[in-house]
Amino acid sequence: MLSNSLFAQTDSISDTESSRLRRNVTDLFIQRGAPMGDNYIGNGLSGGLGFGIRTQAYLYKGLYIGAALSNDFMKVNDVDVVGNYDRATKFNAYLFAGYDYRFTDLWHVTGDIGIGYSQNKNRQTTAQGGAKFRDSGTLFRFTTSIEYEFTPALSVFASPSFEMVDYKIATAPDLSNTFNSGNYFNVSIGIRISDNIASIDRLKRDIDRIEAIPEDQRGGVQRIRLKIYKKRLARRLARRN
Amino acid sequence: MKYLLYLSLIILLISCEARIDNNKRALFSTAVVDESNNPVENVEVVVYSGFYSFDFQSTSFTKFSDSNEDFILGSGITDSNGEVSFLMLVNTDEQTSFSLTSSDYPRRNVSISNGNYNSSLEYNIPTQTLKQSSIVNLSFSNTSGTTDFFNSIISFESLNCSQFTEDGITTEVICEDREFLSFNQSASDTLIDIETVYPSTMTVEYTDATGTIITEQFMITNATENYVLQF
Repeated sequence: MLSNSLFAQTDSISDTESSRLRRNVTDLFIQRGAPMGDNYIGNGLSGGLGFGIRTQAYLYKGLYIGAALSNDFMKVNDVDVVGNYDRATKFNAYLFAGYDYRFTDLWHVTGDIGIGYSQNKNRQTTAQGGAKFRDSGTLFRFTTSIEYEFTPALSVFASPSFEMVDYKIATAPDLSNTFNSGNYFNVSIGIRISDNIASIDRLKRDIDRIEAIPEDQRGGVQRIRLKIYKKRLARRLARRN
Repeated sequence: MKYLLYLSLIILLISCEARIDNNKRALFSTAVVDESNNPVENVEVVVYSGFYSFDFQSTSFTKFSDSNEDFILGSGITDSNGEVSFLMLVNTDEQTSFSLTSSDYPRRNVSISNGNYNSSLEYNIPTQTLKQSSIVNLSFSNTSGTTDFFNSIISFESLNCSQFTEDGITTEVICEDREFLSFNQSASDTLIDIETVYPSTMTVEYTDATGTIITEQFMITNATENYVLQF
């Protein structure tokens, strides 16, 4: 499958590929975050590595909705700005909606907006007392990605994203502007696992191609694929009827 | 059974998690002067909270936790005007205190009540006065030849204070400490060394054989003082 896809690489979308639709996509990624802005996040924290998972379902063509979870590990740069603690772990849980645009057989760009919950778990060092507490708020997120398909089922992607968190932190009046919100810019890379719906025409062509090979010359993979393609075709035809 | 044990362990770990208030930041500010009302520079002010227990004998809170179990909520250094202001975390579950540490003065601890600051999150602490420490040698001398046994209460100014406020206004600052001492239990004079600060006063109160309450007051104005109480 990998070699077929690589040999099939073109700069435009072929007929067979254009009829292939995605059903679900799951991303596994690592990311580097950068706290930014003139607020306690931007002035007092520095980014670290994080990881996460996103899953999305396609509603119509490239239009999708999804949900995501991520964790990022950050260090405190300035205790005078954020408070007397040492490190923060940012946990995000959010829903998003966006569009997946495929501009060649193998390349996609996506863009989506999301809303959800963000929580920084803050920890002191042992010398500071070892206490833990949380800062939480509402997350607004804009995510883009560029994706290259190795196979229809497996891609790699790079994704810049921007987050705004509206924090619910009670403060002394003189401090409120600093603790109202925090911004983050993230760059993530990861793998994208796609569950595609092949078109009826493509399934028929694939079945014909395998059936053209004499039965005694078919390999094990081809026999399994034939079974799967026939089942899929039957399902698609049943759905259409 | 094994799973129950694992579950108990997880619950125990979660329940032991040392926590302070979520989603809160406060501003702490105060000024520090000496006994002549001059600002004191380079005093380290540390706000902390720890586990305290109530001492019924001295009717005050005494520290229960080790120093490394305290949560340091914030800290700062006084400027040339003796003023300090810094961001602090908040822990309303435990007693909050602050300490004043300077190379020229003994460390002073002041406990404050969170309830009065929790709504505004502005810990505007009244000006703190640093005083030098003094050792008072107090001796009880039997000049009347009585064989009665006496119980005394010695009241003096402590390095540790409690500040009480209502609606953000300080109503009382209590720095008083007490020692309970029995004397005339033997033929020899009773001696006691008490650490206090100067300038301050020390009061000794006891009841004589006729039931009269005797009160004697001593002025503490030097680093070492020697007083004799005759009975």
